[in-house]
Order: sequence, then C-alpha cells, then structure tokens
Amino acid sequence: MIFNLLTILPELSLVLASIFMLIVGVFKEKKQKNAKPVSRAFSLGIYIAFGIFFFAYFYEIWVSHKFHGFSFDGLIASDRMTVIGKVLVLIAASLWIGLKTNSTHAAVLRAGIKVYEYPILSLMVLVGAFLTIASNDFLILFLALELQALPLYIMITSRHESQHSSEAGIKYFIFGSIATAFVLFGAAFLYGYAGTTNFSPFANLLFFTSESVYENMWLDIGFLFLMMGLMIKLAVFPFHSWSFDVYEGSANVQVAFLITVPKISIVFVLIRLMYGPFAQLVPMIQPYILWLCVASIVWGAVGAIKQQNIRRLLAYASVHNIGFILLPISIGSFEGLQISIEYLTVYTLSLIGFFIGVTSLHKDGMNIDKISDLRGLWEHYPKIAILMTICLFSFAGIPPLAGFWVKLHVFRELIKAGMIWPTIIIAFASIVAVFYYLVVIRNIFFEKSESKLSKDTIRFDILMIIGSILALYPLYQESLLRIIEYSLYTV
Amino acid sequence: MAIDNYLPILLFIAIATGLACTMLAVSWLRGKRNPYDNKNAPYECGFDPVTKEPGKFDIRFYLVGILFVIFDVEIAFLFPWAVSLGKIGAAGFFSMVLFLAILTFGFIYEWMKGALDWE
Repeated sequence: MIFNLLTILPELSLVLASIFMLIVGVFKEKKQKNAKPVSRAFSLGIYIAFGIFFFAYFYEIWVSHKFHGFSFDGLIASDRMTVIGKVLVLIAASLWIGLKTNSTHAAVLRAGIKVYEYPILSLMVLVGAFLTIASNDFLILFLALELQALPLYIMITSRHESQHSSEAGIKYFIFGSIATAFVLFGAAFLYGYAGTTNFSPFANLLFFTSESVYENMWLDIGFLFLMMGLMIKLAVFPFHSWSFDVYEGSANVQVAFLITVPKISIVFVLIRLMYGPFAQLVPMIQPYILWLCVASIVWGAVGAIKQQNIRRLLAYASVHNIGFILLPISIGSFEGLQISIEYLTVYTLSLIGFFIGVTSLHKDGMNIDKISDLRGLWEHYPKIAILMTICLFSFAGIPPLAGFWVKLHVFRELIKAGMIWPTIIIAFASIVAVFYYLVVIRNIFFEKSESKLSKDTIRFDILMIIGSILALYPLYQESLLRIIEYSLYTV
Repeated sequence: MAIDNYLPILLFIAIATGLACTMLAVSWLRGKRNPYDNKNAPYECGFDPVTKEPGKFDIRFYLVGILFVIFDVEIAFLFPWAVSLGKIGAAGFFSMVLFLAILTFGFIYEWMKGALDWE
C-alpha cells in the first residue's frame, strides 16, 4: 500500500505544495492587505522539491520499471505512457504556472490577475491533468476531468476588471459540465453493459467474447457518449464552438495554459481507451472519428481566415490541429498512436514557443490582443520575430521544420490505411491554413506600427531551445519515435 | 432485451399517477371552499414571496450557502463511512482522516480569508 504511493508521487507533491501555499498565502495576506504572491525563495523551493519527486517517479516507472502496471487496485495506471504524458503536460504547463519566479509573471499581472491563488489553481489543474493521464477507471477519469476543469473555470474568471473574463468563464463552465456529464453518462451505460468501471476487465471482456457482442446497444451508446464527452473537451468539429469565445475572453497566459494542458491529457486518455479497452471497437467508430477529424481540419482552416484576434485565431488553429492529432488514432494501428503522440509533442512545442513571444510583448501597457498588435516586431526585436516565425512556420508545415515532418507522417499513415480521399481533403485544407499563419508573419515583418512594442524579460534560452528543436527535427525524429514506441509497448 | 423487466415500473407509474389524480379529484369535488385573503396568503417567515422585480439580495447569503453545502456534503459522506467502518479497515479509516485534514485546511483558508465574518 505505502509503496503504491510512489505511483502518484508527482500528484501527491503538487497537492501538498498547493495546500501549503494556500495556507501560507492566506496568513501573509492577513498581515498586509495588498495580496502578495508567494515569495521567490518559496516557489524556488517548490520547484526543487517537485523536481526531486518527479525524478523519483520517472526513475521508478521509466528506468527501473519497478511498479509497472496498476496501483490502487487497478484505479491508477503506472506505465511508461503515463510518464511520457506527464512529462509533456509538465513541459506545456511549467512556464504558465504564474509563480513569481516565472518569466510570465509580469504578463499575469498585466492581464489583471491579482489574486495570489492563481498559481495554486494552476497547480491543481496540473494534478487533474496528471490524474487524467494515469486514470484506469471511469470514476477516476470523471474525478480527474472535474479536478482539472474546476480550477480552470476559476482561473478564467479571475480577472475581476474584465467583463469578457466572466463571460468566458461561464461559457467554459457550461460546456465543461456538459462534457463531463456526457462522460459520466457513457460510463454509466458501459457499467450497465460490463458490470465494471475499470478499463482492464473491459479489455479482456471485449477481447475474449464473440463478434456479436459488439452489436450490443448499451456498449455502443456508452462508448458513443464517452467519445462525445471527450470530444467536447477537445473541441473537435461539431463540438468546437465554445472554444473561440472562451479563448478570446481569457488572457494570453491563460490561453497558453488552457490550449495545451487539458487537451494533452485528454488525448492521452483517448489513446489509452483506443489502445486498451476499446481496441476491438475501433473499426466500428473509425468512420465517425475520421470524418469528424477531416471536418474539423477543414473548419479550422477556413474559419480562421477572417480572424483579427490572436487568441481566436489560435482557437481555430487548435481545432485544425486537434483533427491532425486524432486522425492517426482513428486508424487504430500501433504506428498511428505513435504518430499522434509525435504530432502532439511538436504542436505543443510550437505553441509554447509562440506564446513565449506573445506573452512577453506588450503595447502601451496592454497585452497583445489583435494580430495587428504584432506590427513592428521585426524592427524592434528581430530575434523574437525570427523565433516566433519558426514556430508559425512549424504550425503551417513548411518543409525543413518539425511541423512538416509530422504532417507527412500523418499523411503516410492515412495512405497506408488506404484512406485516399480524406488525405486529399486535409492536404488542401492545410494549404488554406498556411494562409492565416502567413498573415501573422506579414504583420510581424512587413507592416509599420503606430505605437511602440515593448517587452518583459523573455526566456530566450527556452525559446532558442524550442526553435532549434523545431528546426533540426529530422536529426532526432527517429529517436523521438523510438522513445514513443518504447513507451507504448508497456501499456 | 427483456422488456417484461420493466412491467413493475409501468405498474408503479400507473398506480402512482392514478392515486395522485384520485386524491386531487376527490378533494376538488368534495371539499368545502371558502377562500379569503389571509387564507390565500402563503405562509412564509417575513418575506413577501412574489415581488415585481428582483430586489437586492446580499451576495454574502450565497457565500454562507456554499460553505454550508460543502460541510453538509461532508456530513453526508461521513455517515456511510461510519456505518461501514468495521469492514473497510485501517486504509478506509485513514483515507477519511486525510479527507478531513484537507477539509480542515480549506476551513482555515476560508476563516482567514474572512468568509465567515458578516461585516
């Protein structure tokens, strides 16, 4: 029992840290009225402690492979795929936590987020995302989805002076609740079918029973509802419309968090479901997911053309890219899952690089809001302009960059599976998508600005690392794919 | 799919609807009616239940309501735990202790934040 705690060590340390910060912060706030965030030394201590804990977890699960399988009576999965998912979520989240040591802290303050609870809430989202990745039971999945959604609602509404903030928060709350309700409803049907909520017996049940079982109504309805709930959370095409308003109403630092962390964790849950319990059902659901993905790729490309707001544009880009992430999963092959994780990694890195640039810039003391606010970036800060352009070109899939190779892999998998028409459609759609990335690049390089851009301290080191990863991708794409393959073998 | 399993539910719905309708109908047909203003007024403690426009309602009521609900849910969680304590062993006992400890931290937070002060 006590050694099982090692499998949830990162979550445990985050929960302890957030409780500690909550109590320390509230006593500090009592002493002096202006809400001061947690001190620099303290947050550094949290970083170090969490680093040690996460390394211990990483070592035990990935390297020594001691606690392979499941813990807490099969509720929590602890295999290498959870490790790779948690590392990806951690990379995506670590810059946007909002602690005082973060370089984005100035951007957080500029957005009007003055409550000291903000970093604590983001730590709780991180706990929820970790648990979502590690969940091996429908009830844990539901709990973890709620655990990562509830702090996000509060985070989005935490800009007291902005009206858009509460509007976005309410919209996100309503759609998030509907999504988790769908997940729970589907899980209830699946429980009615199988008599268990755990994923592992499901895999055995579907694997060893005869073909006619798949035509069971409860199983189909349950699986469909589950998928719909997760797709609302991912903003796949027919369920995407919440994401534009929510992203537009949030601050840039919040969108950087919101666009990556929940989506990565839910993609990993989807991979676990498609690879484990419902592997036998993939042929049944494949056409639906396939055409929904194609539709969201097309919609995300076409709808983004007229957008002026940078966060709205990224919301469309997210709808576009999530189609590319789910397409290889829908094929149902082992390579498809690897390529999905590969695409997710590259997409996340490009997003982080772009957001490092966007959040560190400001114009007249305001955060970057419109695409036209980026005008004059090339004149004032050419280094940031070049690195952000690398990220944008990687989104667009321009050849030497990482985005091109991962798109190529998606196309290769689709053609290998014999899906010619979807491939042609998404190829045309991604040509359309290049256009709006080029609009941003035109604003960065060729337009003159009326007012001057300024910048905070920017994490050039991280931006350089991301830029070089995206630029030199062919050098290590084989090893990245091998790591992903290695991690998936143990699921 | 076995549809006859649902026969008791159908019977239950039919009987419940029939019984409710009968009771309402009998009291409507046989009851004496003598309405006057005081009798028609709903019995409430101090409030006028129906007003034209929504009046000002202090936000602190919501806060107290939410805090009440949290601790009410905790009580609802404690009862089944207390009943089944003999079966769930030490792990179950300490899980609840952990839950209560986290809740206590939340209580400290809300106290220090001033959520319990009315002024």
